[in-house]
Amino acid sequence: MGAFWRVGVMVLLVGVLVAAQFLRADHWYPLGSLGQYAYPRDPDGDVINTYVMGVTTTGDEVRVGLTPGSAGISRVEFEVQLPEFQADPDLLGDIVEAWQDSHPPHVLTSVTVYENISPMSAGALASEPYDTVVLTWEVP
Amino acid sequence: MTAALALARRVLAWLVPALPRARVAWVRTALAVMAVLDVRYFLNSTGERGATPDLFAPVLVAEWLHLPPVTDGVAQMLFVGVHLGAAAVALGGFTRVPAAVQHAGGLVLGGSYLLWVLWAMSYGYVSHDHMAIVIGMLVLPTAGTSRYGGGPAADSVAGWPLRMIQLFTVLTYLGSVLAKYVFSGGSLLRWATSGTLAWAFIRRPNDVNQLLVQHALLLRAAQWGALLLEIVSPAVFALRGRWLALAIGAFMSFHLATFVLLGIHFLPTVVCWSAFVPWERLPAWWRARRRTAALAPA
Repeated sequence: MGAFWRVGVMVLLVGVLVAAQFLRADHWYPLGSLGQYAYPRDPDGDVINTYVMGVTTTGDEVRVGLTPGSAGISRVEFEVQLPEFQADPDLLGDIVEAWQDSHPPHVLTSVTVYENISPMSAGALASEPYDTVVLTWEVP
Repeated sequence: MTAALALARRVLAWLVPALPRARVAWVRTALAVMAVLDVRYFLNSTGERGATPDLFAPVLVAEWLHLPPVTDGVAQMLFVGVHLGAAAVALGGFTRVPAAVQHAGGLVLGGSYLLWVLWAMSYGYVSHDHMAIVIGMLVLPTAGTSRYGGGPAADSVAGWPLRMIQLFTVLTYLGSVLAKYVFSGGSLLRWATSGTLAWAFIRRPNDVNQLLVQHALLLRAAQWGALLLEIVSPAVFALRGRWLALAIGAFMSFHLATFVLLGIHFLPTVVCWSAFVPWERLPAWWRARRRTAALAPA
């Protein structure tokens, strides 16, 4: 009898994994979409790298590193949630607080989100990357 | 009728195979060591999420378990649980240690590690190298007692969790082919000729990949190579001995290349390849080696 439930569990889990691929169900982890680098990036498109700079109370411009250890969030997570930050920039407050906690004695007065843009052509880097500003948020 | 029955038996014997019970002890310890390294150095973000509860975006299983955002205290408990569980699993493989130690260790390690990983994946980004190891942690305790020195004795209760780890290790690659097919709108050709590798290099620039990022032809060839390797991954089930070792070596080289080029180590999946390795032969080989050394003239 034992073999039957073992086969059952196996078939069920594999079935869930296969379904997750078609549904692109990332949040079905551990049987979610295995979509890492699965998206076919436009070989003639732009590559966007998001980064955050802050201005401290002493007037210095500092890089707010997007890692869980530095700001409680990774760069990919930040980019996934970027539309939410654009809709409600106050959400950046959590990140500012986490970064200040891990970088005493720095206190930020404002943060600016940048996108660094690298143009590609035929699936390779084609020209020099450049920066654009996404949003600036004054810390209340 | 009898042919159908014989086929069903063969399928069953493949899905739930008799594999050496001793191998379970070795694989358990390999996964346990990986779990400790993981919570310390790789997937250590769970310990750093206490400050940002608003960013909590639970994966489905975390939702079912009604997990709240992780706190520093809970993260520390799980961190300790993974260490204690791993130590018990590793020690429990020795014959002199009571079986209860490996049983309790397996449960504590499996539970702590599962929760740790679920929380790590519940803040927006889900990584894809943690499938087989988590499945393994959950199914390995069903094998029951296993010792490093158990020899070649095989049974299907020990074989099933090992097969599960083997299967989900291979499915990590084959499933990613399916994901590429879906994400590319039903055309793997589109993925193979895309700008994905250049995109990845630009996203994670380092000294090595910056040498390659402007070479379109080379990047395209690499994409074809990776895709083909992933497609043929199930072939490892048909291989034995040296050929199997060679195939495992090919996948190790693939991961070494992605590590050098992208800083992606994929170690939690790499460790799961251990379920294909005949560790159970190691103690006898070691004894024979020592005997030969002792007999050899000085």
